[in-house]
Amino acid sequence: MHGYLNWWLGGISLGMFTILFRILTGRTLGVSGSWRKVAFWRQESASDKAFQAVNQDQAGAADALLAATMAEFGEGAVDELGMEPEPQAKKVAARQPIPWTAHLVFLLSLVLGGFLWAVYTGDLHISYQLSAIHHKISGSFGDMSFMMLAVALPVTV
Amino acid sequence: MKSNLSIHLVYALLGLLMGIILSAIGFADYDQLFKMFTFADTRMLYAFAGGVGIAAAVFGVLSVTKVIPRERKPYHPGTVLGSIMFGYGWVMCGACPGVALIQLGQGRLPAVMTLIGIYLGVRTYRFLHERYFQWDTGACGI
Repeated sequence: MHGYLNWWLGGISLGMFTILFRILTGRTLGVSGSWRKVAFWRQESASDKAFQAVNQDQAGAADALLAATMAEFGEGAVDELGMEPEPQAKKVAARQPIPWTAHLVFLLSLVLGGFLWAVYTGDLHISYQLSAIHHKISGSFGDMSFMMLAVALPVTV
Repeated sequence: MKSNLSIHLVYALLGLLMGIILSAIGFADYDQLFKMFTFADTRMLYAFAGGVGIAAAVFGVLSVTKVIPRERKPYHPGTVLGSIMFGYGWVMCGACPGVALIQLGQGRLPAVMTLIGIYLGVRTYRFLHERYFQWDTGACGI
């Protein structure tokens, strides 16, 4: 067995990764959400397109209102209102949905990450069971350790 | 706006990094997970708590200073029951939705069954949610 990261290094890695994910994507980390995107790729794609269409219309309307305000009252009026004379479309575009294919790439990259780690540690082999402990648990439902896990679960979540 | 290619590259990099980090901590190893849930070894429990604590603290500071917007995560009736079901599945399969993929990458074939279960679970939940629950989950900002 190879050594794993100690608790504090593991904690820092997890925490930093979560923050990095938020910084790079602008979204919170959620693998379940990626699963949803991929499992319902047709519906999610249609929904994303509709969302973009509505937002682009809103952005166009906001830009038109801003332009009309500036034409009527001058650029000073925009400053007084605290509005930014930048196209609203740019702001909306930054919040555009992530395509489902990117979520698929994310999920597949998890597989690759596990594979690379197994290669690096020399632990890559085809296994028909998760571990001896898991086999013991899943192979004997009356086992006390299984019961203990089932009872302990509500305490741990 | 980021190009489509750069979005995919970023997600690929993050997936790779996450796979390596979770493997390095031991989250893809059922024996380590078993030790954590039975409190035989609290290393991963502390690592998990540490990660949550660090992320919570940094996000808290960033949202207070308005560097990032505060995201709404509403509580709804499914939160507690869903958490219990999630934990139960985690113990039974030794995997959360991300770790099952990592286990597959490491050559652990039972993960295929877990992945099928996750896929069916995602589809079933959506059906049940739309038909019966319709909670505002504020899901993940995806």
